[in-house]
Amino acid sequence: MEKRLEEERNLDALIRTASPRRTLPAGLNTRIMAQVARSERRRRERRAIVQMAGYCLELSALMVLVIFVGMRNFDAWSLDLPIMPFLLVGCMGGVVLTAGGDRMNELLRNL
Amino acid sequence: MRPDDANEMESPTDMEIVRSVAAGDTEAFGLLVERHSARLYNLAFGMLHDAQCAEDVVQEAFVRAYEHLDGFRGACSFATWLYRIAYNRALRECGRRRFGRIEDPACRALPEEPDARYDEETVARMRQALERLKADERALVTLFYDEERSVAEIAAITELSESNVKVKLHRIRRRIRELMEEE
Repeated sequence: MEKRLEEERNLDALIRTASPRRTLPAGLNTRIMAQVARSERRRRERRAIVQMAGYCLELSALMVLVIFVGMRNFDAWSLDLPIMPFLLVGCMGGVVLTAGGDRMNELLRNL
Repeated sequence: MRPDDANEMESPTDMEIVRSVAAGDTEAFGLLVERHSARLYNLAFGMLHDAQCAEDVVQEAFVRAYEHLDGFRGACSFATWLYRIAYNRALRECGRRRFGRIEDPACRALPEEPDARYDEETVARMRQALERLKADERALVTLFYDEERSVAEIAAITELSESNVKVKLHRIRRRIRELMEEE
């Protein structure tokens, strides 16, 4: 039993001696960090694209609303267009459009 | 002292760095790369025996770890989690391609401490025996003997049960003995 244990220990020590440790290739850490930075940039780009798509969708919905309000209030026989609802929705649309544009600029600057 | 214990004692700890990276400090990830890249490379090289492939595996493992950092809950140590990613990548690489061995001078073996107990011929025979093991067996040898990881950690890295790891290590020793006798 003792002999077997001794043999086992001997084998373990021999395996440790024979397993060569490798030096890290020069510049590997820098390359890894460059890849990490590229991955981070791609992630930001993807996030920015999704956010921009969200804003575009929001703006399109608002434009549809403006057109819808305009069409509903437009009396084709008398060519009478009540200006207030149209103006109100138009103003709201303008504000959102400006805010959306600013936000898109910010997203692009952060890339 | 085992590498993981050393990392836990270092300031900042791995977990603290992970938190600051998750909070948006990408540069802090560099500390984790510096701490773990050499050992990860050693594991990948041990499995693949190809310098270029080992580099690719290490790079992929780090990038993947970075991309999925929010999925790291700290159930195991960061090193164990990272090893698991690299181990799976290396295994997949082994299965994907048949590789030739490239002895790149840029990744030569570190000078070893001479061990008076063994003559050069015995060590060379052992080295040949180790090279003839399968990739997953070489990974177990690297993790158990070089990295001195516990059976529990190896089980977590390789996604095997602890008893399975013990059985595999026992079989590897037996196989090494046979290979040594063959040569």
